[in-house]
This record gives sequence, structure tokens and C-alpha cells, in this order.
Amino acid sequence: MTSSAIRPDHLVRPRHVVTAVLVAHDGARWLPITLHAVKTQRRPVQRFVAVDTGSHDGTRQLLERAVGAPSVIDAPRDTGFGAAAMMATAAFAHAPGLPSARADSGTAVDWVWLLHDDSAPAVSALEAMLELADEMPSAAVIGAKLRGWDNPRVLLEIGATLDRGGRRETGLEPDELDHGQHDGDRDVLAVSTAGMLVRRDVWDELAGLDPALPLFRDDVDFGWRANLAGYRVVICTRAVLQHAQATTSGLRPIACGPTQRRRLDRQGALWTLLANCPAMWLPWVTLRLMVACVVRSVLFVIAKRPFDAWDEFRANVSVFLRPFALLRARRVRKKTKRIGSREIRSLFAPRGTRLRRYGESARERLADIGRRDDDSTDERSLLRRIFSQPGLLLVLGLLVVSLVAERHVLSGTLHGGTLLPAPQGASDLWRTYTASWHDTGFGSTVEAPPYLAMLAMISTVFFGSAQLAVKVLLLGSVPIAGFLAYHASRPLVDRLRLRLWLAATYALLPVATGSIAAGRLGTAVAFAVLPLVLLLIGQALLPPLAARARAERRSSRRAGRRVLGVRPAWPAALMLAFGTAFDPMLFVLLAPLLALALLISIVRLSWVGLRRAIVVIALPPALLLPWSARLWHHPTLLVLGVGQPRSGMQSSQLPALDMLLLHPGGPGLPPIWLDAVVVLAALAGLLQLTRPGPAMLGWLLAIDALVGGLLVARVHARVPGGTQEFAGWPGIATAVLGVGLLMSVAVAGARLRARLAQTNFGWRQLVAFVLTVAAPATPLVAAFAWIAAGTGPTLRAGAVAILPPFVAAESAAHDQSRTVVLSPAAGGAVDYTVLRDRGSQLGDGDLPPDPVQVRVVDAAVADLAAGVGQRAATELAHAGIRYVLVPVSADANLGAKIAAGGGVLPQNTSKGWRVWEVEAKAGRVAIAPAGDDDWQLPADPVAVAQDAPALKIPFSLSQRLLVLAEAPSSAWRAVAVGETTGVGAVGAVGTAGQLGVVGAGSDANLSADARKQRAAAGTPLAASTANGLQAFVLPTTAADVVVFRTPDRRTDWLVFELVLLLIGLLGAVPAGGRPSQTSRA
Amino acid sequence: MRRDPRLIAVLVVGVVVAVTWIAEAVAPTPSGSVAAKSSVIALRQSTLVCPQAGGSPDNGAARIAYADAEAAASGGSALTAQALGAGGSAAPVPLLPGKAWVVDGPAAIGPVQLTASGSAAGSLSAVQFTRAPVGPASQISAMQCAGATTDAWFAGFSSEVGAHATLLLTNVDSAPASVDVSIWGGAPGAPSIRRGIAVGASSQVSVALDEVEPGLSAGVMHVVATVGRVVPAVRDDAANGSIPLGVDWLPPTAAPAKTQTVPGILGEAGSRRLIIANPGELDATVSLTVVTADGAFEPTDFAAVQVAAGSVSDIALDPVLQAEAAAVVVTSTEPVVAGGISALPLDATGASDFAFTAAAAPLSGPTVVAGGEIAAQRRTELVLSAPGDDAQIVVSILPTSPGSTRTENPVTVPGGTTTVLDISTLTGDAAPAVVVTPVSGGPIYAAWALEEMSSNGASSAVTNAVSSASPTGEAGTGAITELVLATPVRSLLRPPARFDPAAGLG
Repeated sequence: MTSSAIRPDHLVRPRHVVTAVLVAHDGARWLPITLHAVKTQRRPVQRFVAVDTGSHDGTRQLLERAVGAPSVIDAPRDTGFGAAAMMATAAFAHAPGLPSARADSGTAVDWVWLLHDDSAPAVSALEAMLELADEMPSAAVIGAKLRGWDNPRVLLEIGATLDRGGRRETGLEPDELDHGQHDGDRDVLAVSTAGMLVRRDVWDELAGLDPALPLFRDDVDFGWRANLAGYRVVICTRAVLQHAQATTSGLRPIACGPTQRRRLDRQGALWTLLANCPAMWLPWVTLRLMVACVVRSVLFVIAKRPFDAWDEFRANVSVFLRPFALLRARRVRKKTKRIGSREIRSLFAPRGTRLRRYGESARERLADIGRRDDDSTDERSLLRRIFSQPGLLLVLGLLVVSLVAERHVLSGTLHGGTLLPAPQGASDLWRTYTASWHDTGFGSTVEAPPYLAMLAMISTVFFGSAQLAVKVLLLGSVPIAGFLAYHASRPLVDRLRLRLWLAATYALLPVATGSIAAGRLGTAVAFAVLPLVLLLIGQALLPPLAARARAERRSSRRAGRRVLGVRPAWPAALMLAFGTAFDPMLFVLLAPLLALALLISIVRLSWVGLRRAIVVIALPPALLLPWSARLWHHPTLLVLGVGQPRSGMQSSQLPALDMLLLHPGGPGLPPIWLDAVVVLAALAGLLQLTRPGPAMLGWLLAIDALVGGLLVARVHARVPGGTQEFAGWPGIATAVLGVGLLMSVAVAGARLRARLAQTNFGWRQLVAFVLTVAAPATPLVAAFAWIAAGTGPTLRAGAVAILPPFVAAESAAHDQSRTVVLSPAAGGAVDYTVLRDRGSQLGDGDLPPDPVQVRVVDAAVADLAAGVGQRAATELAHAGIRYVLVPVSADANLGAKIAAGGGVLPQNTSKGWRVWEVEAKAGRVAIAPAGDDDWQLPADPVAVAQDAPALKIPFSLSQRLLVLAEAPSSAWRAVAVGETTGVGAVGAVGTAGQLGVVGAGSDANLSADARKQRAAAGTPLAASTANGLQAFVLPTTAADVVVFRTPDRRTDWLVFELVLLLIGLLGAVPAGGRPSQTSRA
Repeated sequence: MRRDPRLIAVLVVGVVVAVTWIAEAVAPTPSGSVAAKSSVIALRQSTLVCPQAGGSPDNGAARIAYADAEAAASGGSALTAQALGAGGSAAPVPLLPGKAWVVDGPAAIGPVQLTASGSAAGSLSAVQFTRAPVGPASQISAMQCAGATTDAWFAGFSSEVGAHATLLLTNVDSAPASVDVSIWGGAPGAPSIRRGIAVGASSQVSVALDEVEPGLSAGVMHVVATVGRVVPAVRDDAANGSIPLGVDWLPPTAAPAKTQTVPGILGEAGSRRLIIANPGELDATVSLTVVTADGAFEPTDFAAVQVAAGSVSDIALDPVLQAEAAAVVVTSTEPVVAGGISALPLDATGASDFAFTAAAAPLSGPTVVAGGEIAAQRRTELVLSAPGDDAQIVVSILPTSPGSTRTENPVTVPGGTTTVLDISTLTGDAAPAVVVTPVSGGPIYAAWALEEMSSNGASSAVTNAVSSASPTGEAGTGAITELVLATPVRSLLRPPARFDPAAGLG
């Protein structure tokens, strides 16, 4: 233990005695520079002690050469920095003090100077620190300004502090250059252990660094403790240290504990916070850290960094599982604490530092995107930026055109055509989607189409308003389509004006105005997202585009140079699934091209391409199960699309030429010749077909869509079980056809000038001139035609409440009877609907009822409208229908006929409705005696649920059925509950006078659970059917009967969908970047 | 090797053209939707109500005729009769296809309900016939038993001093009914309305119109059932002290229209009145065309009759008709309601009798009317009018006597004329019924008139033929009654019903 005092005669700051403690671990790469820097200090250290923690490289030799073998202490390989430093200071604890050179310089002060093997102090570092110590006698811990090792201009640290999450906060930007902007000595919470100059007595009093913190956060912990003990921790920016941060940046593996940097880092953070925070805040900090652990773990999983999540979790476990060690550490700290935590509060990072940091990086990223999209500079005002962004202007223009054209349908609930009014809230849509049995008028067991779920998600964003979501999606489909088309045209052409024209022409295709006019929400949404779908699919499956995307990504500084693998296929598949949910024909139209891509990747033996193609092809149908299975079994639904199919919304014999001119038929279309220019201009793109590229792709799309659209238009389909036939509407096919043609036009347009310049003046120039003059007119004419025509009479907006309150109330409670609404239609027909306690709503059109049930009510309604009142009334009552409504406005003698036919009693006219009540008894559940049309109702209000009060069925002398006015299904159950005396007679043909007294009135007092148990234990009644309805054979005794529906497999499907969706989303989110910045070693 | 771009372009265009051409060539044959057409269904059940049948068999009876022999033979048809109200049990009545027959009403006078089901529902006719002896003579009244309705018009009742017009509302349904009655005939303008006349289930309510709206010489009434259905019937009974001036039931008349045809204005002497009411809110100008045996003409006096809004016009036709049977075609600028009254001239004692006619639709199919009487001093006539083209009809006689069978008599009614057919020239049956079947030609209107001379001598009222048949000139009144033929509804138009969740939205 000899000192290596150098030039004692000229020692500056002679009062101080400095012992340098260098801890080295596999540091041969940096040690020579470090040792040289220490030994050439202008103010040399008096002692130099080195600790080698079992290095495998030449560290030991280097140290011995520099400080002499006696001054090198060996430590085990897993020794932490703090422990090693302690060993060093303990080693010279009893060494004789070094005399200061000049006695008059005051009391000798003993210092410990901690150094890393990868930290090289500048020549004047120690001198500057000691100078500070003289200026500021209260400074007990002095730190140096850390700069980069490889790039000494980069500022690494000027003291450190903690934020509330325990993260180390330096207050610097990443890669900030040192221009002296942070210079100035000041109090800090902590300084880095690299170059930390600690007064020996303080070091001893605080017992050095906490050995529980082997690598990270030991410095912050020490600083915190020093501050609490009343010593000043000061950063001395005059002293500069170059630091390689070898452990933090992963240049050196960790040997002293867990090898995972992140885990050590979090462990240190938690420990430091929990050991030092004021006792009062301990429970709150504990809770917050635990919650943060869960949140961060989840976020890591989402960011596809499961190992990080695991580290996070492990770190928490390892800290929280050692409560006694923690308490011990707190007790130790309490001994040295002299001042209150309140006094050093200003040294901590202010609240929200981390959020601000996130916000900054997000803004930066957005700014990146902005820079990429257009070359606007930040100096311009917001307004000028808006008006100089052509894409934004285009969307604004389309928005204005849309709003003016849709002026009549802006307020109120949208409905009409194939669109049924949306329910109030997103929760209604969720309920419809998740339910296995739907309470439409007739009731339906059909799987709810997934577009309801997507609409529900979007509604949730729109403050839970489903009506607003429908309005935005349907009425805003044109601007959305314009925006996405503008965005998607980037890889296609660079010329701005051409892109604007493409986007505007696409957004105002006939299919857009047509689907809005006919209330085709599905097609409108699919049309709006189609450009994005095609762009994503293109990026995933087309080699040139994918390469381009990859290049872009590489240039963006975030992703580094990672291989994309199958990832681009996930967003493409998800988007395709989204579009397909709204218009299933979209997938069918794109399927041949996807199959082609699959084939090509097989032929080219491209493993990545194959995987991507499989994901894009397989995920949408899988994600849309079980609905996609229903489509598979009933292909007519592909043709009909989603929504309530209506006649008059499509042309039954669409001329093929119309299809070629992008006219799908139906209401709300612009003049037929409108898009002739597009078709003609697309022909020019044909000349580009010699090489594979967008033109060829465009024509592939076009021919595919043309064939598909014509097939759709030639099919007359009916809803499964329905009687009415509807022609197919090739709406989305014309959209795909339009995209194909526009792609061809884009290529032709981009090369127009060059190509024309090559040839002499002739017919080509003439045609090109005419087209270039006519083309810009296309979107303009379309916009004006749309504004002039408006949305037409089919789509309406307004109040949609049909049921008079008293009818709705009675339908909800009491006998749960239903209401039939009649409406005279063209051709003498009578349209009708059956309602429970609510009007028809979005989704009901996709949930068709049981055909048998419909046929029964069809007959009854026809009888009623014919004037065969009594019979009709009985039929209606048997179907559970009590009220008949006819709109006064569209009465057309129907009301008079119904009145004259008898069998119904007029009620008050309500809100423009004539209301009749069926004379015969009607309810959801009725008791039907054999051979008697006069059915009875149970006495109590009817509730069909397992936990509902039981229905009291009186005894009867004859055989009878309990008829449930629902389509027959094995899921319906009726069980007799009650005491054994009654149950014993269940199912047996009773004799006259046999009176079973069952379930003696205790029903109302039972809890729901008790009722459920009782129902589960009851005797099931034999199922039967009556009038196409579910029925049960009743015992002749009196009985308490509970009718309910057993749950089915819908939940399984929902879980399956959710899991698949999560997998898709996980695949789609960008993979995690570099491990985030952790504190340095 | 560089491919020729033009070749590929031509190829693509060729594919597009080929696809379009093929699609155009295989344009689909729209099979259309199933059952999108309305269907016609036969009436399966009808209930007729005779509002005041019964009494002594001689004097009051329901007379029933049934024409459709084939259908009755096929099973499923049944006819029952029962007194309405408590205790009335449905008694099956044997169906006699192709026959007319008389069913005695209950001993107590009251409403009788006839229910026909099966094919009988469409072609049954029942007449409630009452003969009330007044001194040496008698007065007769008759009405066609009718089905329940929610809307009916009556024209021509009187509520002057001595006249007792009664509205009988019969409800055969099992649910109560509520009826509003509007009466025109007083001061022009809005009608006087009596609202909410409650008619209980299976019961009858009698409303004395002379109490509701007294002092009307010719009232017009609109009966609307706001709740349920009723069978309305109006009986007018006039007397001068103890001297009867007449009694009869008003046939329901057609709803307001701009053209109304009132058939069955009887010939012979006596007053002939035409009642025209304008229930609208605009004054109407009405012109009349009279269709007599001699042809149709427009009396100049009635070329432009003003009928103020909400008023009733009472037009004396006898100066124009000159004792000829006729039909009157009323043409108006506004919808009007029309009816007619034929009265016998007062006899020596001042007594008389009258009969009502009403506007009707032309016959559209076989129309059965029962209740004829052919006997000494009793006569039954069919007054047939063809205001348009010549009309060919067949008058079939449905006899009552067991042996005789249905006989068919083709008749041609020249266009623009009225023909009076005396049933006794076609059959000798005592109580025949007829089926009038339009075969071809213009619209045909028909009324069924029964006339009776007092037993002790010739009525001064009746026809020349009757007068000549009764040489003695003692005082004594005759009696008349009249029915307007209307083809019953035999079938219903059953529209297709389509389930559509959007029905009723906007």
C-alpha cells in the first residue's frame, strides 16, 4: 500500500489528500488511456488503489504496471462496483495519513476519488474539483462533467437525478453536444461514480455505496443519502471526464449479478426509491411502482419485447420479495439522515419529465413524417401550412362538397335504403355483436356480422355514439376516400397535380355517391378504405413496392436496419379484414390476385413472400369467423352485402357497358358518361404494359373487377330463407375497377410529356390534348352533379321512434307481446315488420329470422290487409303479436280495410300512427289448449330467463302446450320447478280434478341465483312445436314453469376472434426498437 | 426479346370487350320475387244481421235466398241463424241451393244473426220483411240483412212531427263498439254530430233520430264506427195522428261521390223525391239525368241545382217523371250523397206508404235478392236501369216450391232506359227470389219493389194494372217497399305481405 505521490513540491491544493480508487473489470480496452489520464493529472493523487474484479483479459497486468502490484486488490468476479470500492477504501483505512505539503494550508482533508476503468479524466479534472472544494467547503461529494469516449463533444452527464418512476434523469437531450450550455457548478441529487470525489469521512459515515446495488443507481442512492445527511453534492463542470459507459451500452458483459441490464436497472431503481423515499410516502410509492410494473410489462409485450417484460417483472419480484432487507436498508439510512426530504425536493426531476420526454419524441417523429410528406418548414404559420398542403386542401374541398351535397341528411338519425337506423350507443352494438340470440322482432340466432363490432369500436371513439359513427363513416366516406387515395398514390406517381386528380376522381366515383344515396354503409366504408387496403397489400406482396417501403424505413432513423420479415403482411391482412367485414365482396374480388401473389412467391421460392401471402389470404376469413363460414355456406350474402337488402336499390339488368363506365346502377349516380375520360385515359396506360409495374397491376385489377362486378350484377340472390330476390350491386367492384383504371392513367400521365416529346405531332398529341383538358373536369363535374342532385329521396335523416310509448312499455314488460307495423308498398304489396320493445336498428337486416316464423306472419298480415279480420287476428295473436300499427301518412285504405275486417280494436292514434290491438290474447308465452284457437296467457308478467320468476300455469283437464313465440330451437328450455308433489305429476296425463299445488308463492323472494339453481334442478318439459313456434308439452296439473334459453358457443368464438385479433395487432405494430436508455455503469 | 406493347394493348382491350360482350349476351332473366302478386281469395265467412226480425210468422220473417247450387253441394258450407244477445243459440238452417225460402224469426222481435260459412258466404241474400196491419190494410217494410261495417251513409229519413226515424246499431262482435253519427239536413253548414254512441258486445242500441235532430224533412246521416264494427239500420215511420203515412227501412247509400246513380224511382202516381246532400265544405252544382223507359234526358229545371255546402236538397221529381219508373244519375261538381223516396198518394183516409231507394254501384256479378211476393194484390217488380249502353242480363228465378227449379230469363235493357220487370210474368211461385246476373253491355242498376193493394179494394196508389184488377172503389191504402240491389263482396284482394325491417320508417 504505497502511495504514488508525484512531484510533492509543486503540489497544488496541498491541503487535500486524494486517494484514487479505480475498479476495473475486463477493461484492457480502455485501461491504458484511463491510467495514463489519472497519472498525468496536473494535480496528482496522493494514493492510487486499483481493484481488479477477476478480469479475464490483461487488466491485471496493466494495473500492476501502472500502480504497482501491492496497490492492486483482487476481488471475485461477481463483485459489484460498490463492494469493490469499499474493499479499496478498507484496504488503506489504517494506512498512515499523508502529510500535506504545506502546514499553513489548513486542516488536511482526506478524499476518495472513484474511477471506472473506462473513464479518463482530463488533465485538469482533479485540480478543478479540489478548487471547488476549497471554494465551497460544505461540498462533500463532487462530480465531474462526463463526455463521450469516442466522441468527446457529446455531453453524457452533468449530475443526475431521479424521476418518480425511479428512472435516472440527466436533463440532457440524447446526443447533446457540449457547447458549455450547461456549465456552472451547482447542487445536484447525485453525481456519477465515474470521477466522484468523496470526502473520506462522509464516505465512511455513509458506509460507501450500497452493496445491494451492484451496478446501477448506486450513485443516485449514494447522492441521495449524502444529501439527506446534510452534505452538499455538487457537480463541477470545470472538471471533465471522458466516459465509455461500457457496461451500460453493452460493450462489456455484466458479471456481478443478473446479466440483464434492464433487470438490474429496474431493480436498482426500485430499490433506490423504496429505500430512500420518506416513510410517509412508502405505501403510495410501493403501489405506484407495482402498477407501473404491470403497465410496463404489458406495453413491452405489445411492443413485441417479451424478454424486457420478463425482466421488468423479475426486477419487481426480486425487490418486493425482500421486504426485510429493504426495511433494514431504510433503518441504516435513518441513522445518517439529518435533514428532511422536503428540503432536497428541488433536486429531483420535476413531475412529468418523462411524459414531456415522450411527447418530444412523438413530436419529433411526427415532424419526421411531415417532413417526408411535404417539404414545409417550421417557420410558416399554421394557416399558411394548411393552405400549402395540397393533401389537406383536397380533403377540405371534398368535405365541403360532401356537406353541401348531403345538406338534407345532416341532422337526425340516418336511415333509408339498406341502412337501418343506428342504435343510441356503442354498447347496443356491442350487445348485438356479442349476443348469441338477438332480440330482433322475430328473434334471430344468426351470427352477428363483424362489421357491427368494428362499428362499435369506432362508435366508442366517437364518444360512444353509434349514430355519429354511422354518420361520419357514411357521409364522410368521400373525404376519407380522398385522403387515403391521396396517401396511397405516393408510391405510384410523384407529380402532385396528378396525385390530387387521382384522389379526387377516385373519391367522387359513382359508387361513392351511389352508396351514400342508397344508405349502403358497408360499401361506403369499404370504398373509403380500399386505397389503404391496396396500398398495404401492395407493400406487403409486391417486391418493388415492398423494397421501396423498406428503403424508406431504413432511411427513417427509428427502425435501424432490421429485416421486416412477415410484418408488413399483418397490417395488410387486418385492413383487408376490416374492409371485408363491411363488404365481403372486397375479399372475393382481391382473392384471385392474392392467389396469384401466392403462386408467384411459390414459383420464386420466396419464403418471406409465401408467408406474407398466406397471412394476407388466411387472416381475414379466420378473423371474421364464424361470419365468414356463414358466407361460405350462403354465397348469396356476398352479393347482397351487409345491411337490409331492398328492391329498387340496384338495377336488375345492369348493362355491361355501365359496369365498364364505373356505374354500378341504382340511385344517386352521376351521368353515365362522367368517367368515360378515365376509361379512355386508362387505355393510354396500356402502352406501358411491356414491363411489370403499376400499369400492368392496374389492368389486372381492372379485368378482375370487371369480371367480378359483371358476375355480381348478373346474379339474383335472395337472403337465406327469404322469398324476395334482389339483383346484385357491383358497387365495390366498380371501385376496384376504378382503382385499376386510375393506376393505368397515373402511369400514362406521369410519362405523358416524355412520350409525346419522342414522337412527331400527330393523332397522339391530339388525343392527349383532349384527354388532359377533359380529365380535370371529371371530378369537378362529379362534384357539381352530386351537389345538384343531393343524396336523393332514399336516404333520410330524422326521428325513427316508431312505437308509441304505451306499446313499447307493454312490449317490454307484462306479456312481452310484439307489434306489427304495416306499410303499403308499391304494387299493392304490404311491407311489414315485427317489433319487440324497440324499433328496427342497424344490424337487424343482417340477422334474418326463421323462415317458418316469417311465413306464418306473412299469411296473417296478408289476411289482415285483405280484410279477413278474425282469422288474421287469431294468427297474429298466436305469433305473439298484440298491436298493429299503420302509418296515417301511407294509409291508402289499408286502415279502413283492417277496421272493417274486425278482430282488432282501434286504440288512440299516436304520432301519425293508427294503432289497433288484436282482440285475441297475445303474449310471448301462451297456453294453447289442444284444438282450441283461444289461447290463454299466464297470469304474471312474462319473463324468459333462467333467473326469472316462474310462470304460474293453472291446472287443466285437457292436454295443452306452452307456446313460446320464438323460432323452434333446442336451446329453448322449459322446466317445471317447485315442490316434489307437483313435479311428480309433470308429464303425466292428469285426471280430472287432479290439482298440483306447486311452488307456493315464495317466488318473488328468491334471489336470482336461487332461481337459477331452482331452474337447473327443475324437470324439463318435452319440447314440441306449434304454428312454427317453439312449444312445450304442459302437464295437466298446475305447474310453475321457467322458460329460458341455454347459452351457446358464441363466447368461444368471441374469444377466438379476440385472440386472433391480438395476434394480428401484435404482428402489425412496429417491432420494439433499441433497448431504451438505461443508466450507465 | 422486346414485346410489342401494341400487341399487349390489343390483347387487354380484346379481353375487356369480350367480357363485356359476353356479359351483355347472358343478361339474366329476372325470375322476379316469389308471390309478389296480390291474390284473390273467396270470402269464407259472412255474418248478416237482420236488425228487427221476428214477430208473428205471417207478418215478420227473414226471407233467405241462396243461389250457388254447386258450391252448397260441396261441403264446408253452413248456415246458422240465432237471435242476438244472451240466450241466443245458433240454430243450423238447412241450405237449399238454388232455392228461395223463408225462415221464421224468433217470436220476439229482435235482431237475428245469420252466419254463413264456406262458399255460401258469398252468395247469400237475406231480407227482413215486416207487414204491419193498419186497420183494414197493412204497411210493409223490408230491408236487406247486412254485414258489419265501420262506415255507412243513409239519405232521406224524416224527423218532422209525426215521423219517428230510428237508428238501430247492432254489434255482433265480441268487443264493444263506439259509433259517431253525423246528420245533415238542418241549417246548412257543419253537421250535427253525436259522438261516442256505445254499442256493447253482441248487443243492439236504438237511437231515436227525432230526438237527436228533430224537424228534418229529409235528413242525411253518416254512421262511423270509431271502435269496432256495427250493422247500422235506419227505419223511418211516419204517421199523421193515427193515420199511417208510411214505414220503411232506408237502404244504405253510396259514400259521397261526384256521380251517383239512384235506381228504383218507382212509377205510378204519388210524390217522388230525390234527396241530395253535400257533406263537403264547398258548394256543389248538381245536374240530373233521368233514365226512364222512354230514354234518358236532362230535365232543364234541374240542369244546375245548387246544393250549398253542408246542406240537403230535396227535389220533387214527379213533375218530370210523369209516373214513369226511372233511375236518376246525379252529376255534381263536389262529392254528394243521394237517395230517393217514392210515396203512394194519400188515400181517402189520408193514409199512405213510402219506400226508400238509394244510390248504388252497378251490379258487378250475380246478385241475389230474396223476399218476392206474388199473390193476389201483391206484386213484385224488378226495376232495371241501364244509364249507359245496352245491358244484357239474365234474371234467374229461385223458386220456393219443392218441385220447381231455377229458370233463367235473358233480358236486355236498352241503353239509357229503365225497364220494369214484373216477376209474375216469369214465375208463379208465391215467394220467389231472383238472381240478376249482368252478362254484357253497359252498367246495370236494379231495385226490387214490392207492392200490395189493400185487401178490400184497389189502392189508388198502385199501377194501372193493379187498378184495373180491382174494380171496386172503396177506400183503402196500399203498401210499398223497396230494396236496392248491390252485388255482395264475394272475394277479397289479398296483397302479398313482405317482411322488411325498415317498414314504417319515414
